[in-house]
Amino acid sequence: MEPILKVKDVLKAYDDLIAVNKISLEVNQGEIMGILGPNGAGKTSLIRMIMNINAPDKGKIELNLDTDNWQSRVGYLPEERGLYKEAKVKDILIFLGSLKGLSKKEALKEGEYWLDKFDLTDNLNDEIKELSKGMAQKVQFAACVLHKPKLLILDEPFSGLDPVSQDLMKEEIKGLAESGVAIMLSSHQMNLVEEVCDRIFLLDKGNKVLYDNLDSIKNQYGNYRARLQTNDSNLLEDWLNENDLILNYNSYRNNFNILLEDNIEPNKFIADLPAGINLVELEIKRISLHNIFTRVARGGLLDAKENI
Amino acid sequence: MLKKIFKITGWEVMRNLRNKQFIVGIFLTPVLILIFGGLPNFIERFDSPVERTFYYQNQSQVELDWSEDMLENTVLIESENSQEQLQSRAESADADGYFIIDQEFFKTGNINLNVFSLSATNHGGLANLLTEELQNYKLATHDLSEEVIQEVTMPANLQVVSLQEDETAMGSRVITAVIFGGGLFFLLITSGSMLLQSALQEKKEKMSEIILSSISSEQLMAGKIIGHFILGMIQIGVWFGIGIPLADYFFDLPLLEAFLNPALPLIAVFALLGYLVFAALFVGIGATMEDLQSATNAQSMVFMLPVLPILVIGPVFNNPGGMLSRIVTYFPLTAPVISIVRIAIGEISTVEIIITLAILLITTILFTLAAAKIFRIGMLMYGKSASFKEIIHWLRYS
Repeated sequence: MEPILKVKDVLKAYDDLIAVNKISLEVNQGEIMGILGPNGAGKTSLIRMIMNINAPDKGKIELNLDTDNWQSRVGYLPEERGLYKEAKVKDILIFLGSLKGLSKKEALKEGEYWLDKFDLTDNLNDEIKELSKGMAQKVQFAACVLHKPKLLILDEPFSGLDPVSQDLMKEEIKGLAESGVAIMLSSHQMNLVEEVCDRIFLLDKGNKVLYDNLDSIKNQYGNYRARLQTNDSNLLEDWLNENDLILNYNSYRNNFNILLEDNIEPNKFIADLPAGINLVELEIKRISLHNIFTRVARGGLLDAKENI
Repeated sequence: MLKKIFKITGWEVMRNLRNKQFIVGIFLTPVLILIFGGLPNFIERFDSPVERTFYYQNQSQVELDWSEDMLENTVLIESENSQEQLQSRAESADADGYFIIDQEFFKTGNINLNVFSLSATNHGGLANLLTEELQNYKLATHDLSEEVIQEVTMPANLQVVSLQEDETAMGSRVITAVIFGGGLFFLLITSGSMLLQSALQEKKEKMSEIILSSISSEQLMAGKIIGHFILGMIQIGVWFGIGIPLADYFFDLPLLEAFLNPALPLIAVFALLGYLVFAALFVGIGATMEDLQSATNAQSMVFMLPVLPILVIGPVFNNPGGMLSRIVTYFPLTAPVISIVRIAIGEISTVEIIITLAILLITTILFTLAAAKIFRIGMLMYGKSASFKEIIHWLRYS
């Protein structure tokens, strides 16, 4: 099936600064693509070009939406977002829905459907200034999906939400993807990205750093990390210093944080632990996307392996 | 394209019409104009002129033969008392002063008017009355007959005869000029500032990017400009609706006649072009600012531009066909109001109208294109106002 969004060799420069440097990516139907990168990486520039708010200097952006009015099939939640404070929730939903081509009745019906999902039905006639920040953000989300987009672009959708609302939003995003919506999601909250995204595009200073599905990235860059608590600290420390399974470790009292070498599987690590060691706690998992992201953002991919 | 523009227009109009501040502003502004403009004039109607009273004594042996009809709001009371008694009598009677006519007056013409307060300086023609009395005395002493004296002292009777047209027609033209020139001026001031506020609000409430994901920046700008034009017209419509009957009732000004002026379509074209020039200017500047407080000097100067015609309106009314009037007719920022005033008065040639229309049309196109460039970038800039250098950069490279 044709990808919903195709970005081909897109370049955008502001004077001498190259904000986006020949980026290519695709987003498929029903897929959640995470766009990650530190501040100034070029995420918003890329998104604004996809939304036709800015034009690329070079390259091509293709949307496969089966309509001439592409804006009516794309939903966009920008990072810099707000709502008219003096306006009522109902009026804003109707207004923004009408810009996407919905009739007043359709916009209101869909708006009420989403407000119900977010438990905001009673706030339909409230002015935005009467809502909490989190409630207003849910209204913003409702406004960007009420026209049933085929492509949804979410720039930092979780920022400002409490953990309960984050979970709710996460479930709705997953639900939309399951219903076939292609979703492009930019966020700094790596744990949430890990939980919802199928593929990742990591940008740094306008350049592509990583572009793959999450498991492949973790296989490629995500060594295992073991967190271990023991009453035999000296025994373990001697073993760690002599063992070639270990890339790096640090410790505090009886707690050890250990980064395994490339291709060392958890079973191998456990089997090789010193015989008779008294373990209190043991946790082995891949290093998080957050670790990969921060290390890559700080100094390139090679450093990522050192991070625990 | 147009459908989306009109959606923005509809939103801007409805949002403001539901806004209490806007509604209060519509009714409060004419009240303030009436208070500051018309109230002193209104109060003056109840303020009767101050009447002066002077006591006098004739010690000259000349029989006074004067007509006090020459005096305005001044009363003269003759007294037989001595000079000291005259002063105390005048003072006790709360008069403004006194004077004594003696033989010296008929010799030298010198006379003292003794006043209790220096504010009593308006003597309502007393000097003319005394002059006439003096001249009559002098002429009589030369044995001239009464007829000769009347012949000699016959005043000139200057009557102004207008070669132009009757006063009523000219008055009606001036009223037309004031109504439409003033109407456009207020439209520029109110709608211009509302448009600027609207662009600022879009940025402040961070709605611009959400809206720009559905429509182009040009559509957003056009929708706002049309929306605020409609709001401005509603505002002025309400003002005229209230103001015209009030002016007719209180000041006997037939303002409604102005709307029968045959030049009305041409005036409307100038008003529309004038609005578009300033609308482009205001919406563009609004997009470059973070808020009103952070406006730079250059940005603040823009607020003053609609006031420019007012600075030259006096000389234009005095000499609508003069050099200054012609110059400010061709200057794009003063052209709309000044042209309307000159068209209404009837002091503008067809060639001038054509040249001015061409200038305004070109200015409108250039300003709108520039504003669209600025608006597109400015609306997505958060956290600071753009510097003059940045604005020039946007205009050159975007």
